[in-house]
Amino acid sequence: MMKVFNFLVIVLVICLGFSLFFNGFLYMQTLDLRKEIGNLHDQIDSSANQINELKNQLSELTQTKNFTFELPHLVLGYIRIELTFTLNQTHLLITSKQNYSHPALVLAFDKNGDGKISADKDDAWILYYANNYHRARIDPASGEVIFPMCLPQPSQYHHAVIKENESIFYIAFPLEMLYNDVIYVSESGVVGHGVLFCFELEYKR
Amino acid sequence: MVPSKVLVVALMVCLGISLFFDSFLYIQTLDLRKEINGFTEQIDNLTGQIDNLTSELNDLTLTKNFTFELPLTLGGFLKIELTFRIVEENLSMTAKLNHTQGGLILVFDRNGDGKITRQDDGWILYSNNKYHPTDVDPLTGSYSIPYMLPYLSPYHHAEESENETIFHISFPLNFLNLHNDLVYVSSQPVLSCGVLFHFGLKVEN
Repeated sequence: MMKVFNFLVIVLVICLGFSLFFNGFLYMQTLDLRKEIGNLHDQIDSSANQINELKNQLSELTQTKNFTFELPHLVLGYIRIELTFTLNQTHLLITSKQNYSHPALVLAFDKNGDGKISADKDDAWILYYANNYHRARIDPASGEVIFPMCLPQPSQYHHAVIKENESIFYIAFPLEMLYNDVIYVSESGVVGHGVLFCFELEYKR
Repeated sequence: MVPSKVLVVALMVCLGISLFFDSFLYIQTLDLRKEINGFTEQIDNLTGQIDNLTSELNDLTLTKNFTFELPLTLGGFLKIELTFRIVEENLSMTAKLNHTQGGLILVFDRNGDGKITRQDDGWILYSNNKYHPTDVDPLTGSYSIPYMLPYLSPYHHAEESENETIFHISFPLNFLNLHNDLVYVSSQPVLSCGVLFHFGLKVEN
């Protein structure tokens, strides 16, 4: 009987040893797995951040368009106009940077929405560095500007920053004033016509 | 001396507890592995999203689109839709014109002086896949045509339909050897000058 008990004790001790060994092994494994999960969490957070950044960059790129034109000028040779178009909920924001001071920026939109800019149907803005403007008529084929016989009005649409060798216009036009993305841009003193193009931003009226 | 029966009972209790923990830890490792599989799938999904966004972003940053309207000699406007893209060391361009007459005039600032002048070699690309070398005065829009038959063009091919012409153009960047992104674009039936602008891709050597 004693021998049987002794045998049983030995068997139980061996089983307990194995069981404890597996305990230790499984415990170490859970620690490793938890560490792996921690790393995966970090990786997911990092990927989510990267996605947010990419989405922001995409949104900036799709909601902002840049154009740089060089136009012949009567006095200055060629002038450079760097234009940035951005849409927000209510306005079309335009930044126009010129490589000379004291410009007058000529802008015309296709206000009647016929896909063209014409002298008799679409009126234009001549935005001055003194933060006032004239409404005028322009012929985009010849570049001819017909000024009204009145003093310029103070502008609620733009303000200008004038520096020694450059000038920047910050412009905001309400979206109600636009029908499509066709725009004519020129400057006073430009030889011939300015540039007629589509700024390619989509907006909902 | 501990009686053998007590020892056996104590060992059995310990073994029971140990086996219980074994099974607990085993189930936990199964759960953790399942969780890891879920996270791995999530990461794969996020990586796919990142790849898509990156390729969309690359498309947007490596492709530039412009739509210009230029006055025609016979009245009306020529619409030119331009796409610039860098593809494997080539400047790849697509020009879609709502016109089927006359060639597309294209001049880059080949000598890198920051201007387009008569010193810069340009091309008049025709819809029959031939070209003439040319030079232009971007101020007046005048251009030269040599007294020779046009060459067969290795740089472009054109698709002509009833109302439009699409030019698919590809210039090796090594051949163009550009120092900047200035380009002059016009077409033969355009009144006065075309458009001088920066296409906004990095092409410098």
